[in-house]
Amino acid sequence: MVPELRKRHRLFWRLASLPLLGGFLMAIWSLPYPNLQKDLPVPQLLFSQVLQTVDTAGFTVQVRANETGTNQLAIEVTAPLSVFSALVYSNDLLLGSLGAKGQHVFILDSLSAEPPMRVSIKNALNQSILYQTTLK
Amino acid sequence: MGATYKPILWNRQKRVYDRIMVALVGLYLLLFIGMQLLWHPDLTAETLIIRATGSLAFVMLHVILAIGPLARLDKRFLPLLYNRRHLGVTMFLIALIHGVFNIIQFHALGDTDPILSIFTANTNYNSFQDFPFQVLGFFALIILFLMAATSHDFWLKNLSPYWWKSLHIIVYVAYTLLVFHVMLGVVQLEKSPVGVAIMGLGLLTISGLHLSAGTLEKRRLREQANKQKTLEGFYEVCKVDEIPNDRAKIVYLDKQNIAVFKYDNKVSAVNNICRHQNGPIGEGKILNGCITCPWHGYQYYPQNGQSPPPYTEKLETYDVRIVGEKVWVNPTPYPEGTERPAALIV
Repeated sequence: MVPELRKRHRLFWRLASLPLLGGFLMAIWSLPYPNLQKDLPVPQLLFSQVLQTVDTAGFTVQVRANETGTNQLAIEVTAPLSVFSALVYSNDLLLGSLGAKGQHVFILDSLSAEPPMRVSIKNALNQSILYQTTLK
Repeated sequence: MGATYKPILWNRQKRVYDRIMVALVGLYLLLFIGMQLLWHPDLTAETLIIRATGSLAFVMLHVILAIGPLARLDKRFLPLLYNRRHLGVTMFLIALIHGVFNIIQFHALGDTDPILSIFTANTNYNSFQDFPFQVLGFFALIILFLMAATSHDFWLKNLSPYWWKSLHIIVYVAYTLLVFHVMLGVVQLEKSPVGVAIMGLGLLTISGLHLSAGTLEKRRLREQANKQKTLEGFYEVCKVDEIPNDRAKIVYLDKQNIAVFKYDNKVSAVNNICRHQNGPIGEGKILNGCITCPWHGYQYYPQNGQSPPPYTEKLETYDVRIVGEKVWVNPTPYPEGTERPAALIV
């Protein structure tokens, strides 16, 4: 390689190394999102009793219960998500994340199950609302 | 284009290089997909492809960027340089699969044009944390496409090695975009620190290697400039014994980049820049009586700088003298391919 091109290589790395490293550290500093620091609940098995069902384009949302009266929220993703990652909230409490097509189940506690239940699905990246419904 | 035109001139080394590359690519994909299925059995095939190709392309880009400085720091890495462009084109194709699957999965299902959606799905352009990282990946892919599309010798010949090399320096811009594509994208959404650690290690390795190679080279040039003695237009270069047989010493004299070769009890000097891709031919050796470039094997006769027939590449030549045990070189170049008598070692 001619000396002039070698010099350009040297110049690039001298100018770019620090900003690259600085940007890398800034990205670590802003990591992770506060709402993702919370451990997401472990997926549950589907309870047998269906209390409510809401069907919409892309999602089927159900509130289900078992024999002991414990409630769960079941969301079936019926079409591929249009966002990188989506989060599920009930009454503004984070329940978990949605991934691929299929069934996703979240346990409901007394606060998240308190009627009327405001269920929302948000884009994890910018928190924009992808879907929202209210259940009795 | 002639009837005998062949887009790629294959030889044994290229075949071996490509076979090893394809085997390693296959091994990586198998291991990555296997481990992902073990840890995340609910992943869809599309997500697996996106993850596997994205990570593989980024790993390959690190390897590609490391080869250049490694070969300058240690000649044992030179064989890796030989067919680097096939590595680059393969890396682009893998990155393209990653990009296409991402666009289909995340942008093709809405009511907006998929390409437009990359730029409008997330408009937090004024935020560092929420910056639309896919835009960075998109522009990096455009750069990688430009480089892959111009990687063929057709472009090298038409653009000239200088402009071709100048164009291909923008791979560093693609690398910078991809570092932030990864850091503001997948790393922000994953909780594991392993990804961050691997990313940091890669970044430090690449910038460290390039800075080390550049600094060492500059120091060598400065030391050489301080030592130079002149006589009647000739510069003292080194002792005859300092040049190994069939090898060269590279010197910079009066802005000339010169390779001084010792062979068959003689010493000759030619320009150090290979006419193919500006490779450092002084880092090569003499094989079958010809100087052989370490990058891609282009050959030249040491006494006249001409490639053996039917090839037509030529290098500038220089006058050489041996006084006592010292080698002296006159840096005034003769036109490319001019025969100059070699200095005899007595």
